[in-house]
Amino acid sequence: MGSEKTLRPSDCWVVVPAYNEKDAIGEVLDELLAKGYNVAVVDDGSSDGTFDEAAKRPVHLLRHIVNLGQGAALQTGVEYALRQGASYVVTMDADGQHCVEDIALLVEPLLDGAYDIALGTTRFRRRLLGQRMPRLRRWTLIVAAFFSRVHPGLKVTDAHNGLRAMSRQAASKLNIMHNGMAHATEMLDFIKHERLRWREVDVSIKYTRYSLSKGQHISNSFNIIWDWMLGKVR
Amino acid sequence: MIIKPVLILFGIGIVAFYFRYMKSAVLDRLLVLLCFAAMAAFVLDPSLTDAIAQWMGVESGRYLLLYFSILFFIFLFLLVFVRMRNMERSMTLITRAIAIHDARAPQGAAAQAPQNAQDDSGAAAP
Repeated sequence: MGSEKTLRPSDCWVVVPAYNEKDAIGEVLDELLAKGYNVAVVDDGSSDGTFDEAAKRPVHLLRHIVNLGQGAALQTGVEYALRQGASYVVTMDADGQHCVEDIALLVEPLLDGAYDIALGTTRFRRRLLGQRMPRLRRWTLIVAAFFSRVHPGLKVTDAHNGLRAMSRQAASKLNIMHNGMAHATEMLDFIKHERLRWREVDVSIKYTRYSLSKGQHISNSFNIIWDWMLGKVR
Repeated sequence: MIIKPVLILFGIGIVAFYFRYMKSAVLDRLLVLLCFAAMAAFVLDPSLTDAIAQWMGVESGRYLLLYFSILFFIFLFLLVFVRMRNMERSMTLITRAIAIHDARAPQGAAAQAPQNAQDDSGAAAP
């Protein structure tokens, strides 16, 4: 893999971890399938029929029989995608906050092998388009970014953006131990530890009322930091 | 005042000791027995706590027991926490293994990756 310059959608696997996203996931999956990507949905023990909603579409379906958390769902999906022969693995939230068009932008730096992993970030796009981000949300991301900057020494601007793309080599080294939301910080540890070549790519976020009600709250920053610190006690 | 460094060192010691050596249940039991022996001694001779407390620089045996019980509960908390987390990890691995084992591929895509087809339903249907 690696040397061809354009992305064949069939080489690209999009992992969508989903927990109680019945109302949003259908549209997300339809958009992904329309682009020709392989889609692996990991239903993280949802109780609202997310699984059945996803099952109406030609996607690969995995199901955690109990709810474990987004980190665990991501790891499951990535492992499955690798087993199926994925060349590139993309992770995407199921709540519809990401734009399917951004996937190609994320994978592009990986195509010629210059980078191992691309992280979606909202900072520059927000500046360019003057898109209004809710103030509380912005501060949550700033706190999270600050924290992850202090720790692993990666100057990320948006630590908890769920849209990421990895090469096969990078994905096969991934081993998320945090089941919960602290996996985003762990991901940065992983990049540092494995000395991955990484870059950020501007992506847009759709701030719908729905995604706001589901996404990160400021109170979650504390939880994430707490999880991460406990996880350090090996 | 010998009590402050002792308490702090004891706390650090407990944590370090647990994460270093506390792998076997035998040691856990030994500790419980030791605690029981100490308790028995104090019950039999309450003035013993005062004597030890004064030797350590605490005004009364009650306070000494309070300090040590706090440390003991912290230790217990760590013990339970580590066990619970290990159990959680096992549960995670099991759940994830089941998810991958029972993964359902889309109907049309069965021919797409035949080398990876595991013991799923597609192989059973001729």
